[in-house]
Amino acid sequence: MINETSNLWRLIDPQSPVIEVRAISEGRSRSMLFPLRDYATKKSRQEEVEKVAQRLNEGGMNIYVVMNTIREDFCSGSVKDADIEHRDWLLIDIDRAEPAKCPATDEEIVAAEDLADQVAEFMTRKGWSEPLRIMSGNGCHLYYRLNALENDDQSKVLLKTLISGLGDKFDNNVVKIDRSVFNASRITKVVGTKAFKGRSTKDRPYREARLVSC
Amino acid sequence: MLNRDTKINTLSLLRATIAELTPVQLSTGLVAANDATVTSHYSESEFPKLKTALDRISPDTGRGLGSVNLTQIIPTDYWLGVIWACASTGSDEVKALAKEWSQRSSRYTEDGFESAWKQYNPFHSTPVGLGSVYKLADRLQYDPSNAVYLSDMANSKRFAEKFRGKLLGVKHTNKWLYFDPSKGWVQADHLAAVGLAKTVVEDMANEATRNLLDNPDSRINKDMLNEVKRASKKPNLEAMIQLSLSEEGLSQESLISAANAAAKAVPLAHCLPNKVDEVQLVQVSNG
Repeated sequence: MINETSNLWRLIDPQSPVIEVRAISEGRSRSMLFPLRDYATKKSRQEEVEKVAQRLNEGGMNIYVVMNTIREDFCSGSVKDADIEHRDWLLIDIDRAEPAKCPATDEEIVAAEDLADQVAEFMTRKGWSEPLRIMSGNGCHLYYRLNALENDDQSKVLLKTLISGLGDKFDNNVVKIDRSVFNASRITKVVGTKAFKGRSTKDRPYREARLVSC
Repeated sequence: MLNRDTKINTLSLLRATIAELTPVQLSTGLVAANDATVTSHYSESEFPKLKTALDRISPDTGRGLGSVNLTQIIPTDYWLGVIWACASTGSDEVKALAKEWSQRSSRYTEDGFESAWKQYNPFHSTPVGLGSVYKLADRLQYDPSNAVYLSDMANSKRFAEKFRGKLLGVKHTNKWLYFDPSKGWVQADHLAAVGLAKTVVEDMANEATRNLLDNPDSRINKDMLNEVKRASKKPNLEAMIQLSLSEEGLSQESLISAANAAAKAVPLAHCLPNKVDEVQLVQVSNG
C-alpha cells in the first residue's frame, strides 16, 4: 500500500534545494527546514520529511509545506516571498464560503469538488494542462504548473488577478475560491496528514488530505 | 515527476485566461501592440534609463486614452499612456518617479494620479509598456531647459507679461479688474480672463508660424506649434490663468485691495485687449 504522504513529491520537487515544513496548531507555528545538502541522498531527505510530517500531525498539528522553490541560500526561520527562487504552482484553493471553525460536511466537500470541476473545465479550455488535484481535508485544491515563473511583482499581480477573477466567476453560496493564496511563499497542506479544525463530529469528521488526480 | 519541459508561455497563458475573466475595457494603443514583451522584463537596473526618458518628456500634455501614439510627428495626449507604461512595471519606485514626473504639470492632482495608476490593466491584449516611453522620449527630444518655455507655467508668464498693469485678479475668486480706456478700471468675470488668455495663445500661434516658415526643420519651432495646440485647450487656458495669479502684480487678496491697487496703476491704453464687448463689465472705480 502506498503511503499517501509520499504523494507530496508530486507537488514538491525532490531536487528542491530547501524544503520548509511548517506545523501549525492553535496559533503556534513551527518551521523546519530540510536543505538537500544536509542529506546523503534525496531519498533520505524525502523519508525524513514524510516521517516528521506524520509525527507532528499525529501530535495534533496541521502540517504544511512551502509549495514554490525556495532559494538555495535560505537557511533559517520561515520562508518569505523574497526567499522564493521561482514559482512552480498556481494554487486554486476552494473552501467553504462562510468562515468556519469546524471540519466540512461531506456535502460541502462535494460542493467544493463540483466547483473545482467547473474551474478545471474553464482552465483546460483556456489551454492549461491538467491540474494536480487534492482533497485538502475541508475543500479542494487545484494546482497548475507555472514552469518556474519568475518570482517578481508582475507574476504576483497576474496570479492575484487571475485568482480573484476565477472567484468572481465561479464562487457560489456554499463554496468559494480563496483570494489570498497568490503569494510566492504560500504554504499548503501536506497530503497524507489530517486537517485539524475545531471539533470532529460524525457529520464533520477530521479528514486526511489526499491526492485525487495528477 | 513534474513535467518541467512544458513549452507553453506561462505568462501568455496567464494573460489570456485573465483577459477572459476581466473583460478588456481599454482602447487599443497604437504603439502598445508591439510593446507587450517590454512590460514583462522590467528590472530595477532600468530605473536610471526610465528617469532620463521621463526628464525628456513634458507631462503637460493631454490625458489621452492610455496609449502613446507615435504616428504623430509631435505626439500629444500621452499622459495616461506614460502612467500606465510605468504602472506595468509593478514597481513602487517607478510609481514614485511617475508621480514626481506628473507633479511637474500644473494639472496634477493626487487623486487623479492614484486613480489613473489603479486603472492600469496589465491584462490588456496589447498593454502599453516602457518601450513606448523610450520611443516617445526619443521622438520628443524634449530638452529640460525648455520646461519653462513650453509649459503652463511659461504661458502664465506670457499672460502676466501681456496684461501686467492692465489686469488684476482677486485671489480665491473668479473676479478680475481690468482697464477699459473708455470707462477706467472695471470689474470682469472669469470669461473675460479666458478671452484674454486666448489672445496669448493667438500671439504664440503667430510667433510659431513665423518661426516655422523661417526654419521649417527646427525642432523647437515644431514644439512651439505643438504647444500652441496644447495651450489652446480649455484646461490649459485655465491653467494659464490660474498660474498667472502668482505672478507679480497680477493679483490682490480682495476686491477692495484690487480696486485700490488699480487706482494707483497707470495702464497703457494701446495694450488693452480689443474684445471689450465680450466682457461683462461692472464699474467699480474710475481711478
